[in-house]
Amino acid sequence: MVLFVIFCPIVAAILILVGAPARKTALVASALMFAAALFLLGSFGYGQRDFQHVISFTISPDWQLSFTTGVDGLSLIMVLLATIVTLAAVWFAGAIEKYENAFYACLLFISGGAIGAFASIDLFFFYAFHELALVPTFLLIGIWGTGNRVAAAWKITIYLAIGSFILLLGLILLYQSVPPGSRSFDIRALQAAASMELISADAQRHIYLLLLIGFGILVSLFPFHSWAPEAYASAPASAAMLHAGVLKKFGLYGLLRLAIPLLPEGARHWSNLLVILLLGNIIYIGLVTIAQKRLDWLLGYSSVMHMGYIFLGIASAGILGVTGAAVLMFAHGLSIALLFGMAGEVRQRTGTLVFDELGGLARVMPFAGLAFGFGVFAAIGLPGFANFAGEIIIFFGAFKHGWTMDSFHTFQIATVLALWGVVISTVYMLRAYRKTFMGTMRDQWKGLFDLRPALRVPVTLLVGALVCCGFFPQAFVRLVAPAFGTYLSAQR
Amino acid sequence: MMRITAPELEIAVLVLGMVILMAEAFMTKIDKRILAFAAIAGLAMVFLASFFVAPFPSQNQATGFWSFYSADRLSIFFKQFALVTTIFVLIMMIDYAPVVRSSFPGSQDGLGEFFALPVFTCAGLMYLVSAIDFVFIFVSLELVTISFYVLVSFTRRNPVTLEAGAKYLILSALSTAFIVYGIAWIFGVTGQTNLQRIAEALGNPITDRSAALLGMVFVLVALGFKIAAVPFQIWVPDVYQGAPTPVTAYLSVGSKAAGFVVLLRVLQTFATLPQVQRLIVLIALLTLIYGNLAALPQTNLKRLLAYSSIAHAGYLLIGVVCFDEQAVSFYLVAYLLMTLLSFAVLTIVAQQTGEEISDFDGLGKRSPFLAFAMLIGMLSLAGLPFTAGFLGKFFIFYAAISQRQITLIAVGVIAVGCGFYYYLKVVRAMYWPAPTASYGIGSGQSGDRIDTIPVSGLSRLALSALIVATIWLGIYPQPILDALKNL
Amino acid sequence: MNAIVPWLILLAPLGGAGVITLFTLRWKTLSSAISVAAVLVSFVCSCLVFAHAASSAAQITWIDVADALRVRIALTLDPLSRTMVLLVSGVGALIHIFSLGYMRDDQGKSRYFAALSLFMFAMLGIVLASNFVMLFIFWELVGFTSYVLIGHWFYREAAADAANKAFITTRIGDFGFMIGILMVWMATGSIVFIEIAPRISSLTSYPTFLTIAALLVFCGAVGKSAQFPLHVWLPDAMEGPTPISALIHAATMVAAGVYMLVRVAFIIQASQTTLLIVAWIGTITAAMAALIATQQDDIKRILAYSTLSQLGYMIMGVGLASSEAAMFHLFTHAFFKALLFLAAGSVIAMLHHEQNIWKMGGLSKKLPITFVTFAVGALALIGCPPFSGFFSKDAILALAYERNMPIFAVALFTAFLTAFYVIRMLVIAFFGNPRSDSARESRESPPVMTLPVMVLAVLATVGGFGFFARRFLALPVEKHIATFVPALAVIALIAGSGLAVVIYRHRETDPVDLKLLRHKFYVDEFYGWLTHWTQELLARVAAFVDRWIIDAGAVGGSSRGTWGIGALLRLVQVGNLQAYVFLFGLGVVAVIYFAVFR
Repeated sequence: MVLFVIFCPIVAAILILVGAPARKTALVASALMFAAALFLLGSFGYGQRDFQHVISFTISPDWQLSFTTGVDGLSLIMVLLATIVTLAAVWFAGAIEKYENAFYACLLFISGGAIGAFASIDLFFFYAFHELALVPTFLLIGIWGTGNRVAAAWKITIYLAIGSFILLLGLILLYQSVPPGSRSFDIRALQAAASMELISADAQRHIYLLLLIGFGILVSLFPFHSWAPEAYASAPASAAMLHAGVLKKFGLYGLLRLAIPLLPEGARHWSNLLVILLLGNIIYIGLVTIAQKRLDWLLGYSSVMHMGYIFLGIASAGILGVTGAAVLMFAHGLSIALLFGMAGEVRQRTGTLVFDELGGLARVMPFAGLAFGFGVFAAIGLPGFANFAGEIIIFFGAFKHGWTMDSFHTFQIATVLALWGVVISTVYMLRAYRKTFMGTMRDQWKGLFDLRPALRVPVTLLVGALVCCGFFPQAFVRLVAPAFGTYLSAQR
Repeated sequence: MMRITAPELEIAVLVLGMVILMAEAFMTKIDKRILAFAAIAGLAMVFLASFFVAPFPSQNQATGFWSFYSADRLSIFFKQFALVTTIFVLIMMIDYAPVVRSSFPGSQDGLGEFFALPVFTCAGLMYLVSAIDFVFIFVSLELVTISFYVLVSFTRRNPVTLEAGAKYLILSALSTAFIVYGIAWIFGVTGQTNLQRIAEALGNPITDRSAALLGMVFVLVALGFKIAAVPFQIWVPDVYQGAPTPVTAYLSVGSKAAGFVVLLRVLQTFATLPQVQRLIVLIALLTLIYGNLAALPQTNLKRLLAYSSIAHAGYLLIGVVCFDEQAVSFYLVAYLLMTLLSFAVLTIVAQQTGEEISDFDGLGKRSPFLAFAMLIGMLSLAGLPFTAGFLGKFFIFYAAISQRQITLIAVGVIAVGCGFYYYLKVVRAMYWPAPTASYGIGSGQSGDRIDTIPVSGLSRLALSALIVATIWLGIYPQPILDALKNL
Repeated sequence: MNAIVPWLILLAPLGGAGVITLFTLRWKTLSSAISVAAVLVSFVCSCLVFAHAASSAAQITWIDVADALRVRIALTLDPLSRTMVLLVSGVGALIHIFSLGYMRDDQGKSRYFAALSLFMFAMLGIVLASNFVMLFIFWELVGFTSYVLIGHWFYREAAADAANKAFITTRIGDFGFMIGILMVWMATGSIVFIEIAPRISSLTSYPTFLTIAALLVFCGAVGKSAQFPLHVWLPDAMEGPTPISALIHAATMVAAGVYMLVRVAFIIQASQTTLLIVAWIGTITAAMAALIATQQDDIKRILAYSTLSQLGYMIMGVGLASSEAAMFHLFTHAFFKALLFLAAGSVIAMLHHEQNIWKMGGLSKKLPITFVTFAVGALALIGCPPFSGFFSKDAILALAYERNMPIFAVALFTAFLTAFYVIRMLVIAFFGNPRSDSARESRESPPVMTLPVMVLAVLATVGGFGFFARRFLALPVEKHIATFVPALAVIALIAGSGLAVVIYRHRETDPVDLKLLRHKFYVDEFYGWLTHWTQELLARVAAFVDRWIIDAGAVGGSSRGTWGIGALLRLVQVGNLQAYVFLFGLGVVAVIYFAVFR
């Protein structure tokens, strides 16, 4: 079943390339993926923390390299997220005037790569699948992008290529840090090795730093973020949805998957650095976001800013923090996808996303206004949406880390600043909403029409997922927490 | 089952070459392409035969023939390598034949030589990879080089080609001079020409190590010339650009591979000298930087590939620094596949439009198959996963990390970044809206300039084979890894 | 049954909101009907719950992370919350009905009623919350619904701005609130009120910690209950439809802050410093708002400021460590302030959304019922015996008198001001001659609007009497000085009203004009200036740094640099053979030098 979820999009993409009807095939494929993901969720055995639905093909015995796939709670959530966003993105894409096949093929390749990365238990393929999405992104932005697409495409591609290469070095170092006898690309084997403390503290520090930089670039960790806003601003809506919603989470997933269980010492050693960087994401980028004058740039920056909270959860390296991080990853993926989708619809109609030229659009496109509003309030962590659940768990976890009665320490201060970040994001998000959908409307927009009725489906899908997870986060917590329980029981 | 010994392979190849020359001389009426097909068939048979050769390590006390000819696994592997390369090059040459004809107006003179010479070069390469004696190294090196003199300037009516030929001739002669000089020094110091015996001699304290080192450096100069390592890369861009495309491919794959095999053998001999590794590290660094950075501004694809071959020499040198034969060999295999793939496409497209990158605008529309082949080639050269190129880089950097070659790795990061840029430039040209075209590939004048490019069945087969091999090795490298085990 | 009913109080409005948003947005009347039905259901349930103390054991595990953090959605059903539930759903029900009339032909009627139901859900959630996180959840939701309802006419610039202002300002308060919650959680290891209460005493060894935590929790109330310095959003919130002003921004939501403080009184009262600060914040707000109100012309804004100052009284009560007094005033205030707003609402509706009192006048004859009810509300507000306001305000004054004399003085002065500006409003709006056409041809409102007003009028009248109030909540014990303080209060009242009548009888324009008060002490201007020079400035600087230094400089620079070096390296390829040979030789020399002679 896992294999199906991974290869469904890839096969569909190839079919489309050889001439299958693009949109139909893509829709069917993504619907099937979503169904399969739901099936995985349904058939998932709660409580047990090891991988399930494991399938393995040996590639190279002497390198202990094998194509192994499977899901545990964490990856299951990510796969679910990926399938939901894929379906929504494909649905939003609509009719492409030129090279429709290539467009949908690229979308499906991205999602296939992301899902493959999430569902791979083998480090090698974990890395390789993610790279699969690199060139499609390049083409999507370059061919179908808007605005400064050429520069944006080059920037994101080269930047991410370098980032993932640094990541590769880190992974190789990780592989070598285990004594030759028990070397393996299999994450489970590595975890076993780590639990026997075969990875020296010194090696951990080096590896963690490499992973932090590598993954950090992929997740637009401050100061490696500058590829994100421009790329998302100029990418076609569907591409931005997929990339910001799903692909970007790969780095965070990687840190949760590798750094937390395998490199506790590294995490401890670099936690202060990470805290500073993530505060850069939250406060500094937050301020930058406030100053934005275009909706697409603002959304791009906001997606960078919100990464800070997830990093905060990871940095706190407690069961609370990482669980919250996982939930927030899921939530943020959905909300940012919704926002980018709506922004794309607006751009389609008005041809501009400059705030001063917009305003009052909710009068002519009420449903779009409603949907965007959902996105906005999800993004700023309104209770009832998944984002709030994630954020509050992270705050509790981070605040708890290294607590003493007499004074505040790094993590308490970080939490306070992060909480102020919530205010900042409220400011810019509400400002964006107000300038786009509220207030008086220009006459030139009188003729605009609301969303196609068909688009209510993906919107409902995204919002529904957000609300479900927001009202019953426990369902997701139960998925994730066991995956970490064994490693983090110490920090409870 | 029949027993074949390694030398018979070379002899077979030489005989094949003779036969083709004879045919060329006496059968004037036939379409000379038949000769090429014959050559391909012959080489293919030799290639098959090579699998029945039982490799055995060369003994120390071996005398006579076996004292300068080794038939160990490495050499057998690279004999096969040379054969495959030559076969693909010949296929390219068939596509290139019209150009050759055009440079010999009226007749089809010379085509026969054009097809025969690679066969001799191939023999030379096969000798070279088994050479364990400086004299023999020199002889086979010359066999390769001389046939290349002719090939490089084959379409001599074309001034650019002629100039390239001249440059290659002179610089190559220069490097040859250096190798002879170096061999002389080494012989003078150690009184030996056999590599293993030299190694023993060096182990002996009475030998003058610095003199031996000097000799080694001279030899290194010549090999550096072959593998296009900085600072001996100077000829590469011009010659690659000027030479007939198939020959360029041959240069950048065949002679480079052979060069690396010899380099490995020689360095193993001199590994005991402390300065050697330091020197190679330096050369590797320079080569990486020069190859990748100088490639960035290129607009001519053939020249770009020239620089990229320098860049890849850099990656290979990292492997050499770490004395990891497996990594180097695997990288060479990957390099063979992707380079031949790119050159094959280039050969075909260049005849229609040209060698500039801009000539590839909208190729994705014009001829999807060629574009896809080029895409795979470029992605593999850039080192994207699920292609052979990625695994090549993977093994190289694996070795580098386990040896903690921090500087090399750091430079490698930059190099890889640059690589993505200039290889994706080609991808961009093929798939993005052409600058001339208004927004959108669909409406590209480039699209209408040529509807589709004809591809002969044979080259279509060859291209498909290369594509499949590239991806297959990228996903399932085990066959090669097994072949390379315990070299 | 007992287990279900309390949940029904909470879930009926939620269901209503959900159904409307999902299905019936198109059919306005149906939506309003659903919403009203929902609120009635929860009112009935509250009555049941109030009648026989049903205690609901059922609870939902919202979050439970490996025992590190356990958040349960569970209901508290102590006398306090039972009364509050009754109050909220009761007033809410009346205002729903009133809205049927007020919003009869509004475009976004469905949206309005959906939000109204959602608000009921959120507000009742706050009341029933059993732990901090649950409280915070509904706390935020209330803020959200208030945002939606203030911005109901989102196409008006003013409304849109007011909505943002309200939400962001309260968010600032919640920033402190959340930190407070975290600190309390870390200190006591629990977020459940009944678990925290006993453990607080163990923290007395950390007085500063306790004070800070309590004050941070208080920040939440400052934001929600619009206390100084976060009071600025409430007057602007009057941009929303008047029923909203009545329900959210007078009767219930703004009172949520007070209710929360009462709920966690054990934290507030654990530190004397906190108490003092809280009391003074309340006092300052009360006085300041009253002062500003004396110079406002917009009837709704006057009421808004009166709300501020009454909330000030409540907070004062909390600060004086008497939850009873605070709750008592909250209780009565809910009635008479809702009454005032609804009456004002029907005035406004009848005058075609004319809100300036100087455009009114002589309405006492045009709208008799409205006038009478409004007058009742006004008298209650200024604390004129025997109306409800008198008793509750008197309780607080008495408290102040015995605990803190300066506060008592200010409070008394505020009472005087209150009388002044309320009577001023009354005189200008309802007596004299009509000053505008809309005032001349105004008629009495339809019963659907007057009936709720009358009900509220009755409640506002009797609400204060012990026999009535005691059924619902514990009243503060009467002290012996209780004869002296009321006397002072009544004197202040008479003085204020008298002054107002003297100044404003038969006036066409306002004779008094105090810039400082008209501009609300320039607080808004100051905040505008502050944000412009801190946040906006920082934002612009950061944006510049990001665009030019990090992106164009570091990233772009390095890439351009690499490219440049590449271009330079190419220059080596001069193309002529002699140069190549020379370079080749040079290379050889270099290599030899490096290898052999170093």
